[in-house]
Amino acid sequence: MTFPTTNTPHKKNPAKSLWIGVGAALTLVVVIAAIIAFAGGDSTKTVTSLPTEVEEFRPVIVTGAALPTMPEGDDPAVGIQAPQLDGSAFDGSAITIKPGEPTLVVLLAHWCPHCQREVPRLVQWNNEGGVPEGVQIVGISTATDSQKPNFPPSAWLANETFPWPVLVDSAKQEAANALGLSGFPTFVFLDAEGKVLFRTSGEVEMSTLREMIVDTMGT
Amino acid sequence: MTPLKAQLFFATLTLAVLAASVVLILMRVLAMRRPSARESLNALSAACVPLAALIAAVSMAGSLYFSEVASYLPCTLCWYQRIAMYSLAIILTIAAVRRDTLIRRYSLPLAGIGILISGYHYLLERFPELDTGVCNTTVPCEYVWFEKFGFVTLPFMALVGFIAIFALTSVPSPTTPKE
Repeated sequence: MTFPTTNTPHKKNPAKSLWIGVGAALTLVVVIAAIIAFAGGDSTKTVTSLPTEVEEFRPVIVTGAALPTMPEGDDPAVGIQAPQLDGSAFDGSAITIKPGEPTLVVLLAHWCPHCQREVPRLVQWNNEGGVPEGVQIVGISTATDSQKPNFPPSAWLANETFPWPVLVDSAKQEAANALGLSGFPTFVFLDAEGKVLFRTSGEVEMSTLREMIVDTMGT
Repeated sequence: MTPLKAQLFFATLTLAVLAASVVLILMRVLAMRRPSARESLNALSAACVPLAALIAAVSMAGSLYFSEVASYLPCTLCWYQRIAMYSLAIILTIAAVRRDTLIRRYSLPLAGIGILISGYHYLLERFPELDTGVCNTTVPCEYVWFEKFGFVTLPFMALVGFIAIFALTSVPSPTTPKE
């Protein structure tokens, strides 16, 4: 396919003008981009308001066998004893996940958009009194990476007013691996004896989560 | 160049290419009625394949910089876009050197596929709920490595690159043989 051209004489060659215009525009853009890129200073985010004792990685001691990695279908971990996790919060205070009372463990990654959407739901759920009575909730901050957005997780969860204790995973993600993490966010619900009642990953509505908790607690 | 400066540099280039693509598409529309626009397009047509090759090559260089130097790991959808863009960089460069006016037979499908994938990827970044609702443990596709000017992200850059290549290589050449 070709476009027919006219034979009308022109005082100025439009194609030549176009080329000059395009060339000038491109040159201008490249020069501006180069000036911005090479002369402009880097605006790095620095966190200066955090207390010095806050750490985004903490050692975790895993006692017991790790749960199998969560598959797509039926979860083989249901009914299995979960390992005990001894670790610390961001401020260094001790946190232990062990048998005692039904516990919902929420594994979160600061950079995961689905975790960023789920945390406000959890907070609202708590504020509205939706958490079933007798259930304690513990967060685990894992897969932390200072090069990724929304770092540090301590500031993120503080800004979101996450109301429950948060165990800080190690750089090797020992807590997450011990619970068989396969994605973010992950919920692991343990009964009072520390056995797995259910595991689920991905965003979940709070009404569904409550239903799952109530249903499995009743079994 | 630091990753932050590279982000700004490539984001600015993206906006320039986007503006040029819009102008080119408008010219295509105007060419249907205005002879002067047709003349301009005919004059531009000889430069379309070299320009498309340049855009594909710069896109490839940018993607390699961000993955290999800045260590932004590519996700699954990023890899699909790379397949399209890297192929385009090679075949468009060869076509530009050989002045192959039939390259559109190959470039348009690749650029079209790239537009679909990068468009979906960008939507996924904006609306993570479109996906399964779960981040994988390595590099989820809805994960945003960086954002400039409030909306320019890596998939957006790729989308603009594919649109520009599609627009450029769809400009008919006055010397194109009948297909």
